[in-house]
Amino acid sequence: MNTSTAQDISEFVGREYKEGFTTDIESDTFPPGLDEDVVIALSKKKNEPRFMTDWRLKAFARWKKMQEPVWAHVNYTPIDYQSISYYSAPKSDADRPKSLDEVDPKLLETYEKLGIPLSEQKMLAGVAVDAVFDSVSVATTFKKTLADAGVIFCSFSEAVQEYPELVKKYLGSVVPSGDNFFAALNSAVFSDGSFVYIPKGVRCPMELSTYFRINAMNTGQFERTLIVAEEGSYVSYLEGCTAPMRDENQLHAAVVELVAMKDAEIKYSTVQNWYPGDEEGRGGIYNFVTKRGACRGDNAKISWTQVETGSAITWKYPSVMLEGDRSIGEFYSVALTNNYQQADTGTKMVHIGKDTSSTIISKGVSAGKGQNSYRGLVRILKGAANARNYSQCDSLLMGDKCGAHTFPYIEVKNPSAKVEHEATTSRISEDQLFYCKQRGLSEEDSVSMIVNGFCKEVFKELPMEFAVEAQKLLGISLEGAVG
Amino acid sequence: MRQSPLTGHLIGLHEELSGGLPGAQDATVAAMRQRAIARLTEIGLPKITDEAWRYTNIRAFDKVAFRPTAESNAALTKLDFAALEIPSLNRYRIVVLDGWVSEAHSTLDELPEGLVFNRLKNVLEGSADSETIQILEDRTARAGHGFEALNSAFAADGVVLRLEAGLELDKPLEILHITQNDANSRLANINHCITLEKGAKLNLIERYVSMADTRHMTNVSIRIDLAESAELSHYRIQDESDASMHIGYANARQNSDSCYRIFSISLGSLLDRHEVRQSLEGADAHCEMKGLYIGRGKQHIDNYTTVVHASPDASSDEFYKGILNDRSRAVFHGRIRVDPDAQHTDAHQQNRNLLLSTDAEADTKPQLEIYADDVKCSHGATVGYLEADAIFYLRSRGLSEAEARTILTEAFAAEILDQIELAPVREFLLELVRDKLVGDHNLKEAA
Repeated sequence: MNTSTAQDISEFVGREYKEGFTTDIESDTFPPGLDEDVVIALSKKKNEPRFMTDWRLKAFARWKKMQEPVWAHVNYTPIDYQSISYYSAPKSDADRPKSLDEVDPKLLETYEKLGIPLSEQKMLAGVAVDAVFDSVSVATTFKKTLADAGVIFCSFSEAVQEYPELVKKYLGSVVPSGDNFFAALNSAVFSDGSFVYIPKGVRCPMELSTYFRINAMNTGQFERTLIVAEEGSYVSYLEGCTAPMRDENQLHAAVVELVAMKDAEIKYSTVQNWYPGDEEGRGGIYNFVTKRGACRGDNAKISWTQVETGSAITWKYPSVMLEGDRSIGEFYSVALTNNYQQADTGTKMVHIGKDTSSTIISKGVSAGKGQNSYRGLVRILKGAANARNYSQCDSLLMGDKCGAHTFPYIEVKNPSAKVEHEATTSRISEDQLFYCKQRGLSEEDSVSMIVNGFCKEVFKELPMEFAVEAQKLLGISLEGAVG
Repeated sequence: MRQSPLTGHLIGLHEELSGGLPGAQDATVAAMRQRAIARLTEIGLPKITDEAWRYTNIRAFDKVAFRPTAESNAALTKLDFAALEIPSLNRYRIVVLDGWVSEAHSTLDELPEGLVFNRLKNVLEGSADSETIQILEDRTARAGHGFEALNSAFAADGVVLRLEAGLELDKPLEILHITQNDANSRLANINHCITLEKGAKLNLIERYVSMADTRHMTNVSIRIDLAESAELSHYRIQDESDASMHIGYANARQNSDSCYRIFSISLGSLLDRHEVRQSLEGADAHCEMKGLYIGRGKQHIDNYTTVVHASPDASSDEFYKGILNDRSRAVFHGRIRVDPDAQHTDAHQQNRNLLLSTDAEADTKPQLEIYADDVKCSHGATVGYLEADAIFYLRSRGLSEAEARTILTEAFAAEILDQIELAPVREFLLELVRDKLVGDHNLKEAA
């Protein structure tokens, strides 16, 4: 590696996260600790019906007997689950910045570069709600459109109150409460999240992304999302956003469950840019997420797309259970690790029905001292005749201190199945850089262009406006890479 | 943790037999065996809850009272070697009978000068070669699984071989392992140490056969050390009884400019586990690992390979293929690790599986673990049936469906075997593989 590239990369690595997180002390917060009383109190605080309380307690009983998993290719100091507070009232307006003038100008600069509208900037920066009337009115319009189509889209707490039958029917039907250590913890103490129900034959009239971005903030560290798409329906959902998010909690253990009935399609996109910790690897979010979808009916389709650039540790395997015949599962992922970030992410595709197919495209970018692992499972059960899987996992290494790892598991019990897995690891070559530069591009633009090209197959799966933002996000990540 | 019946049985057996093993009177050897049995007691034999054994369950052998035999018993039987020969192969031969090196059946007198041969048995009894004992000791300390500890605990015999600098052997050396026909429940613990000094070259054939369909166990370790510029071509042919358990592990270390080629051919045993742990510890070291496995009946074949690139500018190329019939199951684990300083590594790995039966299964785990940036690494894995287009093409040329399948299946295997340079070995294997595949093409269309 020549000196200039080494320098570029060291500067790229030196890029700082534009927003740290603060730890204000809130009133109306449970004291740290977790036992049955806390679970009951939490359920009571949320005024939940009996079945929810019981469900949480059952999950808690399971969790107590479980061991924290250690198989992931990540290292972190053990988490003390008794030092976490499991309920905290939403931030009061008094503690928030009164206007954008009080917000860190660097943060605003980032929003500007991402092209985020002013009203959303206020939301994202945590400006008090009364200052953001623009977006509230927009939200009301959206709400009416959705209601006209018969789509239910509300917070999980609201769904528990308004649609207990639906919640009871589908909650835990894809990710059982005792599925794994973090899912069990989430089941016991989840704070809030989103609930989506698309009735039979309805094509959701809008990307739920837009709505979500300006309404479902501050869902807390144990988020729970449940999306049910009835026969023949379609929904596209975007979680998170490209802008750096303000957050006070270090441990995030979310659960997302998707249910797609016959002929239904769910497209779930995630952009995650939580605080990754500083250059020395101090602080940063631990993002331990269980995401799973079930194609319950024939011809159902579930597609996961994720762009993961934040968090100190990411532990996340969005999966699809292909139960219906001819059902389809897709997983498109870009994961970027820098400094001391660690990501262990991938997917599980379980082929149960006949003629099922799945596609896995994973792109890992490692820089600094980042460690990036793809871990995936493709399982073809005996009954899954003519199942088809194609997996491609590519890694790009930027710098000589980072790591890129691939751990696929392939299990095939049916001879008519066709399963292919390919992985490559490479770095940005001098030749590629030279070629771009001799065409008049700056080194920074060249690196940005090459990385974007590397991730293109995934970006094109994102809803359009987010694809544009995600590209900008990588651009920003690479900023300062050239002196 | 509860001990498995087999682990318990073997620990008890050790107490009974250790006094009679070679070198039992030697304090160093006895202490080494004691530490090994303590290690086995601690970790036990592998269970499917161990990540490295998640697809391979040895429980079917839990109730077998495996037992090593005394050397005097091993030597008794008269053998018809003519039936065991690889046709038209001119070679040196060392025979291992039921775990004991049989000097009478070996061609030791012919071995050229510069090839230093010893039996592990002599080493243990004489305690002169502390280096070899240290190897057994080290392995116990780091034992990845209980079989390694078991092997050190019962260490009795094996081939200790050294090729002096610059020696190129004029003929291949065959180590032929035979389990005799009275050998039900026979346990053979074998330890080989092969050292090639600077510039030495060797063609090594490591072959396993059983004289009858007995339920025996072979637990074999081979330790390979290649000094600078040494070259080893290693042909491993495992064709033991279809009822047996075969556990093998090769630990190979390579210095700079050395070249190691292994062809690992797995045909026999009910349960076969073969590990290759390759460590590239010098610049421009090169290793090639080729594997072919054929599963029939209820065979379970597990290839577990690790390649560690510990130094820069080394290359490795791994290619394993499997054909699975009936209710057989294959497991492939391939890991390439590139250490932080191993820049300019070129490492590739492929695993391809052909499932010919609705009850066959393939589980594959190709893994890359990369800590250096200026490297070229790739891996790939496929599992599938014969290409419908290819069958159609051959049928359009007038071949029957069965003929078309036979040709395609044999061609699938030949892709590995055709790379074998030693013609007699290649021809022998092509024939052997063809025999194994016969009768396997009457399978029903995949449901």
